[in-house]
Amino acid sequence: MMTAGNPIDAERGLSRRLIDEMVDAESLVPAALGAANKFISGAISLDSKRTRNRYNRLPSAAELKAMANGAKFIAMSKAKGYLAPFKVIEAVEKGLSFDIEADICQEGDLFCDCAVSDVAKNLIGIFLNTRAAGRLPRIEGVKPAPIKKVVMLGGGVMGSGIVNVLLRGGFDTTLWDINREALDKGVASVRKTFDYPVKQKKMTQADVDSMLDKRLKTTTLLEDAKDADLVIEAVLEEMSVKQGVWKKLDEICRPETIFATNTSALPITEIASVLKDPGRMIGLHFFNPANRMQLLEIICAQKTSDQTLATSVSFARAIKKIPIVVNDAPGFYVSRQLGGLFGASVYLVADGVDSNQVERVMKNFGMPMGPAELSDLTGIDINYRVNKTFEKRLGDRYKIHPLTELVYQTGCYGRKTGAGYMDYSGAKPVPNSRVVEVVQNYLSAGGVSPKKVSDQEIVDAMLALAINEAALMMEQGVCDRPQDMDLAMIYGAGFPPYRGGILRYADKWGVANVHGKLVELEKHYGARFQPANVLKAMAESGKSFYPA
Amino acid sequence: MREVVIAGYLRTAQSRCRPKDPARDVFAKMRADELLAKLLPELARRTGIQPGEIEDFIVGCATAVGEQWAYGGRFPIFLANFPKTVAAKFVDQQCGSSMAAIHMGYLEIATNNADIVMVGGMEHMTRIPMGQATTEGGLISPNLALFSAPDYLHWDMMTTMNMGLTAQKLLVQSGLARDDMDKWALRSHQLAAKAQSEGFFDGEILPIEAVQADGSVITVKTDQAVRADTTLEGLAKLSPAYRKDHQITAGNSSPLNAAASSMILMSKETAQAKGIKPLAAIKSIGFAGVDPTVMGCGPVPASQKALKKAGLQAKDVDYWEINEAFSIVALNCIKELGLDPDKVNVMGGAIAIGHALGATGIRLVGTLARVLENRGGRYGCANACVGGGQGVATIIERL
Repeated sequence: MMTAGNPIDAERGLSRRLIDEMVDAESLVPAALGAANKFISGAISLDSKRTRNRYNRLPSAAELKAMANGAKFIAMSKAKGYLAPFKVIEAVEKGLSFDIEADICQEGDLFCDCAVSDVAKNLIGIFLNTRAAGRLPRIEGVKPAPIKKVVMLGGGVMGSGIVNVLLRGGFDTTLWDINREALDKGVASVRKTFDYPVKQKKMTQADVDSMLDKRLKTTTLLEDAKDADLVIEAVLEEMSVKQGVWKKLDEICRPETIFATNTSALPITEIASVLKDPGRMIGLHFFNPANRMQLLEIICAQKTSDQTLATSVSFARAIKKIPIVVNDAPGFYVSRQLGGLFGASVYLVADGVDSNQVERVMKNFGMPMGPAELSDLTGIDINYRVNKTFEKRLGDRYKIHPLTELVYQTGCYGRKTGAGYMDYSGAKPVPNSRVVEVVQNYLSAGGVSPKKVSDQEIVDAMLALAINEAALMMEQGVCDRPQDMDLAMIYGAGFPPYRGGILRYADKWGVANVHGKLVELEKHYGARFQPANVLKAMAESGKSFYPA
Repeated sequence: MREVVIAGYLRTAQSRCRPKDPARDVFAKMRADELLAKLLPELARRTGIQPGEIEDFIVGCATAVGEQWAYGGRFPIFLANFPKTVAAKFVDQQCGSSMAAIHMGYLEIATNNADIVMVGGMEHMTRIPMGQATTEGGLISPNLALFSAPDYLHWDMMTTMNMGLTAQKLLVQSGLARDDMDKWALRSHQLAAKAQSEGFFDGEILPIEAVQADGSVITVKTDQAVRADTTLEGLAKLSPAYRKDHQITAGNSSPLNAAASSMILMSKETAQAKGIKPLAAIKSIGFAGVDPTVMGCGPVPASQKALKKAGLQAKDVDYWEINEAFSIVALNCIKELGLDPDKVNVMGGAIAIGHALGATGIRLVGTLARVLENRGGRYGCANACVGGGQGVATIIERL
């Protein structure tokens, strides 16, 4: 209860003797008055209720120490980086004395430590910014159009997750796919997305069946989208395929129908170029698994209208997602930012730094996994293709590192092929000897010897590049709202909330210091680390990302 | 029946308990089982045996509820990280608990059912207070019929459950006076203070590092309730503890204490084989039931039984340790058995040294063995009264 803030109900409180009496709502006031009178009359003695006077007293010093150590150990594994759980444990460990007044005073001090901490500021900021997400000036006063009927194109991994979200959101949902077989697979996948909540007894199988029955239709005919308010597309990631589908729908749907593509890699402006009114197209980029990840990246193409955006933001709220609005560009925001956060690792490893240390450091920093583990999960081949796109469309700065090229050439793509940076064939993942060999050969060929660096140096390099990438995106007009950018990384990429975000981190580090670090890194590693102009200007003028 | 000897004896100092003001008890932040567990490895070491050689561990405690419920005696074994092969039993004979433990260990060895038995006692009267606090807390639930059904009224449970009232009744029965009790209390403090200053108890007390209420750590190595500055006048000024017209006061009663005690018993042959010089041999034991409303007279028949079993008379016993649950208990026993007071509680008694209920039995026998050694006596008798109307006694012989 104390370290996680989980409440318990009155029944549990009663059985655990945390409360003395439980009454129903109507009897509350009379019961409270009765208890008060019992105290006044002395029928209940406050003294005998005091913990120090109860038969099971306070724990011994040895017991308390053992329990506190145990609690600290658990807190370290579950809440590292947060402050409150540890202060709670400290309050218990140093409290529980015979002098409750002193203990209360001490607790007050420890609470104050939490209240004025950066962690608190960051978490409060996240809370407030989450509520404000999507409220862009450009759509202020623009009334969102009502969305009742949604058509989902494609029942694959993303599509089935999105259908789950639509059904739970109460929308009349039609799932479209190219043939019956694909549709059946899609519906089966949708059902599967409800397995976990049913197992957890949050829903019954009957609820699921009823929901699918009442709200889900399936079709192989695009014509059935004619009365849709919103069409979400998650078909093959190929420009010609997507454009083909949308062109057809342009003839079928009403002019007001919003066209949303879930593409993660293709330029939405180009997809929209085949439409009569490109203003109706927007990117709704869900994160995998769509039914669990809270972030929804809303991508405005060049011509996306304010009306389309306003309706999309409102829709995002209706399906309980957090909308972060960005402009169309390669990798939109999150993908590219993540590339920036993990991008320095290949430079470090190519410089002789131990890749295991990089993994450990990033996990200690608070990321759910390090660059190699994430790469193996998403697919080294996928990442390679994404990087190739960046190289092509964003310029020389993003040229793929030769070591990355060599690793890709091994054909080890990660979990999907059984091995990537790690080998997953055994009981526990171990470094993949093929990749280790490639790295070692690369290092010896270049005359690079193993390099010892501190954990902080790794953090500095990784975060400097990340901050720079954010600055570049702001410069290039991808997004200009630091609070949205930080939220996106927290909800979409697992960035540790207690740190507030990449740009909060930048302000704390000091933009001038970030700039200085990048200048240093550019000297050593080259153009990838060249400071963004925006960052240079901020460093010189003493500005921060967030208002001071 | 084999001969049984006491091969080792070790206890903690007794702290002064204050259930209503726990911060002032030096042992307030330690549980009774933690105190006991601290003794056991050191006792084995000083005795010269391996813990694994101990076949049984019999532990006593008077208020064996809450923290003092010992899971059949195994918790102290676990806390001491002793080998799992050490069997255990828990015994409750109220104030006689650890003497009952000695009796049971003695019987196991004498009947050739064990060679080496460890016995222990513990009580923490701040953390688990005697009487009302635990009854109100629901940890002790005397059968209410005993208090109200006509068939049971003769037990007079209100008196039976209140040690002070039984002491008053014994006082009246004995014909002795307030002044006698106060004088005996003064004697107890004076002799205990003298023994402390001469370092007599150092040989039986293991110093304990105890965390205090304010977080500091102090070393506790002397019995905390001994008051060298006690005066007869001071004692006379104390008001009766239980009823206005009674004579039992806090001054002529034992204090509330926390402590643990332990002892190793073994067969005489085992001691010889190991080259261990015993403290004493156990000659005989005695136990008796008496009127619970006058429980303080229990030591008398219990001692008489033990004397008979030993083939001795009271005058043959060189030194006595009579538990001073109240002054009147010792005075009554002296009177009924015709003892020489100068042979009784020569290092002071429970009124000064303390009476951590469950730990007392071993404390009495152990101190007695050391007194025999110190004073060159041959036979000693330790006895105690027991709440609920009993007495226990143990006669030992210096070898």
